[in-house]
Amino acid sequence: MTRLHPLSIPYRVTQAVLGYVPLVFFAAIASGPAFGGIGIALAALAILVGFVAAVAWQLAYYKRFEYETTPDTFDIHSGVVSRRNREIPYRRVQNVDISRNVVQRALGIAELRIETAGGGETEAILRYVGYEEAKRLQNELRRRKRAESTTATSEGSPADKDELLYAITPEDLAVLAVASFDLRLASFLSVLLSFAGPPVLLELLTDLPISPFLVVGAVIVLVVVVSALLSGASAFLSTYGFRLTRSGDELRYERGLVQRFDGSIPLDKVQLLALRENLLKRLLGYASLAVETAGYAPGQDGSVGSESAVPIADRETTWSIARRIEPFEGIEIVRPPKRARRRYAFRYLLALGVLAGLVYAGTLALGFEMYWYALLIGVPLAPVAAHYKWKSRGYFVGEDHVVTRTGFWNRTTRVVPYYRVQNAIHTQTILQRRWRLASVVIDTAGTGSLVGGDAHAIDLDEEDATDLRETVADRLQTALQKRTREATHERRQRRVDRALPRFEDA
Amino acid sequence: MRSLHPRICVVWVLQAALSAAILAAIVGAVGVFFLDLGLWLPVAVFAGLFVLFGAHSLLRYRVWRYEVRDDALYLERGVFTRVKTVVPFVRIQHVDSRRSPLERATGLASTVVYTAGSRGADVTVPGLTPEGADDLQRRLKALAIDAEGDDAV
Repeated sequence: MTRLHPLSIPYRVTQAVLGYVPLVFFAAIASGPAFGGIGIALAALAILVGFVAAVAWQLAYYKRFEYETTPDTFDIHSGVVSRRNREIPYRRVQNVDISRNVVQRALGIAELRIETAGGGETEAILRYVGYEEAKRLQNELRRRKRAESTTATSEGSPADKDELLYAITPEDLAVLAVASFDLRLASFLSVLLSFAGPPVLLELLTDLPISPFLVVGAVIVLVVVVSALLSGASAFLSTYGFRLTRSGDELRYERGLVQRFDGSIPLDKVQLLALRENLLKRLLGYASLAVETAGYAPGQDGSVGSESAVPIADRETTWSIARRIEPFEGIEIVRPPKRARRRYAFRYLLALGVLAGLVYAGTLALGFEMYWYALLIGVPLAPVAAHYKWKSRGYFVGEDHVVTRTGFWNRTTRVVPYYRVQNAIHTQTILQRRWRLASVVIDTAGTGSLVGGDAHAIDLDEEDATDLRETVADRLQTALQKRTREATHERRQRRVDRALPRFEDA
Repeated sequence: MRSLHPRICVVWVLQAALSAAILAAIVGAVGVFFLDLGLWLPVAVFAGLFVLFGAHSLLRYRVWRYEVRDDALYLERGVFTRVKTVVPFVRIQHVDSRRSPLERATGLASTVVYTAGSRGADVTVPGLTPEGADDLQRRLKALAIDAEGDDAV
């Protein structure tokens, strides 16, 4: 039976009091005029009582919180008033994550989270244990989990050694800060400004002797610069000192400048790899890699920066790390048929035409020249845009993996091992039917799929789409048979290994 | 390839009539109380929508196909966007057989297949006879158990 770290008491007391004091403070200020001096005295009393209560509660919490590692389960006994005993079988443990903020690092304590499959809720949180203890628990839980799943072959097998896959360099970090510029942030800021902006602008414009277009232009530039700085800073803070190591059948990562995270990705739960290369990264020769696991993606809750195995590295490194996680062979992307490109060009021209028509209608309705013909500059651009859209899409059917690629601005290449395929969905809209095109979604149980992260092969030739759908379903069967065969073989091998020494003894 | 039981058309046409009636009632209420229009408006809306939705139901019936293959369930459906799904038995988490009130009234049932995938999370095969639905459920269950993978994830 082990307790939490004693320093967790003052830390938690401070946390509780800091949450409570401003409340009392505001109440005292709000009711100040009514009570005068008594109000302040009451507030001081309330704070004192609150402090004593917090200390008492946290002491009790500390006294009543115990955990222990039994042979098959990790047990937690907790609860001051209503007791709860929780037993987590090692087999079910998926990730053990450690996180520490600046204060916790100064105190040498850490928060430990134990996640089990099924995602959503964290199974157990230890607030807070010593950092060393957290590390020890993380290793211990992993060791026991592995011992259970392979029925204890050998202890210090070479798989136990940690192998550094990737550590971020200052240059990489700088590139990341630049390349992580997020348009979503800019649009969020502009929405904010569009609420607050107009009244302020009107005030200013009456005084300032400059053209309003200049002011609007300056504001737009400012929004872009501020959001670039913000997203760069956030990426910098959350990925500072990133390290990815492989230990046995897990990937482990550490990252963060202020808040330090330390987590793991179980390799046997990997559903798909997503290699992301947006335009900026492509121009600079960089790429990033995200790994999706079933029910849990690292960095999922709260932390914005990276849910990724490699936040950024040059193309070769990223791809080679991806290949070490999932050994896929050289991929040759098959592009959609040429008529898809014509389709995109038509689509862009149509959109442009509709837009120009609307602007023209607006001109007529408002009697205010809006230069609808300026939009016609876009006409020669439509085929170019269509070409790049066409060029950035495609798929590849490999030996053990199926690969899809989408997006020109945010190019994402998704690699799915056949044995992870859940189902194959072939869709064809009424417009696609006219062009004899179709799309195929290769569905997996990854978490990112909820936000449209599935492997998607868009606008293939009808026949190719049918082929892809059937091939993926077929290869899933062969891949599963192969895995089952390998598993039985391994089991038999182990049984023989265990039996041998007895013969030798005899 | 098998198509659905023809009686599913009755269910879908009745559903079409129901949604047409609800929409017509809303349009009619607005028309009568706010715009002082006669009762001809909701009737016309109902007729128009009913024809549209009804035609959609019939087309839907003509497109719907399913097949229980050796190792997967295969479905084809969709009037505007045609969707063809392959659900391997190894991936089936559980199978439901379901009967809505309308289906009970017409003596039909549906089978719902669940996988761990994020999109094809539930695949419904409607328009089966109750025996057919039970039979399909039993068969899928047996095939899913037969095709045991490591953990279906």
